[in-house]
Amino acid sequence: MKYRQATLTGLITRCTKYKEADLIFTLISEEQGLTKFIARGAKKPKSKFSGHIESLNYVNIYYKPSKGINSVTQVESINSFLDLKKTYDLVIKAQYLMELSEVLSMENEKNPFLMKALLGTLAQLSNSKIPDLHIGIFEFEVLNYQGFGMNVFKCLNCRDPLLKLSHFFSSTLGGFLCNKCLSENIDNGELIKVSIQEQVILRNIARKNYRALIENTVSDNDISSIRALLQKSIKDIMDVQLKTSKFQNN
Amino acid sequence: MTFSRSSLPSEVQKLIVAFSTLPGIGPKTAQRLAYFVLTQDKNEVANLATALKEVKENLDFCKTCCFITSNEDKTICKLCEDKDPILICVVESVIDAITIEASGIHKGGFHILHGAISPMAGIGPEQLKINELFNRLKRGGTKEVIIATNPTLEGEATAMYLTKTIKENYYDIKTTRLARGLASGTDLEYSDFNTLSNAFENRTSLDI
Repeated sequence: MKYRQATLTGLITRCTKYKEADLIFTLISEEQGLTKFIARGAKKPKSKFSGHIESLNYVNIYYKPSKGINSVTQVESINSFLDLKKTYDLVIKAQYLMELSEVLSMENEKNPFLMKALLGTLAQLSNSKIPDLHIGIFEFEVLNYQGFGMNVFKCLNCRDPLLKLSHFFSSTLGGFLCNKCLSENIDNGELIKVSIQEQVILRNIARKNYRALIENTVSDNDISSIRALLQKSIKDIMDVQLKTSKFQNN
Repeated sequence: MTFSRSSLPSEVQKLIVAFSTLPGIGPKTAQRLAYFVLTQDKNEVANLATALKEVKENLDFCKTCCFITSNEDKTICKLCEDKDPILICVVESVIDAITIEASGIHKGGFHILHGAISPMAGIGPEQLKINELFNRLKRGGTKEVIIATNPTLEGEATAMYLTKTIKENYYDIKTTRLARGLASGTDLEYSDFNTLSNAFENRTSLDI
């Protein structure tokens, strides 16, 4: 009897050993969001799957759909991100991006924006002199897409445009408070002081003015502060503590 | 009233929960194992319990290579006996060390990390036996560290971390990585980019 075969293209985010020689892996795809698959015999040295099924591989898989976990019949690698895999720091950063994407994905739910942003950012990481800037852009954009966009132009309370000064950012409220509103008793949680230069970077990200960001020299300190701010926002808004985030600055 | 797992005696429930913490064991298999234990002879169950207890109480990690050793062997473990300390082969698990040792290819010592760096699983260098390796290198006598972690993303990340740290802190120690490429008996058409790229990079001349 012939069985029905389906195909899916996506990025392998994690693999777990199962039984003697099987691998269970998680695939994040544009069409189905997060999906788990089993590759039987993948750990055997002569397996046709070996090498293809590995974290951070963008693959095309053929599988037998079933009620339980889908069993893979064939895998083709599309992009193995070899340049990323050659540097320890980049592997750690790529793992952070994959974990964040997993958190933002649902099972059997389409998410073309997230996949496009994830693959685009991964492709840029290895060629970029400032990989953290690309990760920051990814964090900002996916927060925005998920409906937790930040207001970086106006005061959250009085709606007045922000003056060219250092301002305080509230990760729980998702934006800045002007100095006048700051003195009032607003329940704003923990505040982060953001310098003028850091605000300029955030506004350029919000305007998608990436050329200005790349052309103007962005200091490592500013990028680190912005990444810290974005990571805190993700933690507070999504209420998740990513395991990979503590490895980011090591 | 419907009968569910919570209607079982608490001892059985506890056993199911305990079994389900084992790797590869889901709740269904844990239930099956628990019912199997219930049908077993008292002596057999006692033997199993004693074996589980003793493995934790009487065993420890070797102070040198982190292999599993009996508490009685205070001086040297079986894997460290008659080994050349000039060469240290670093592996992820005890099974990897046994596999290499059984092949007889490597005559030097071993160091078992007990895992690999995997940020997505929350495992960093601190959770592994990496400091023990560095303390061993500090004591001197090592000329080469052979990194034999698995060729996975996690294994590669661990290899890169070790190479970077050893190069920065122990200038006179050479670090090498096991060769990567095509496995014997495989078909070229099924090879992935990574394997092919490694095979091309590490190609050797044929001296016939």
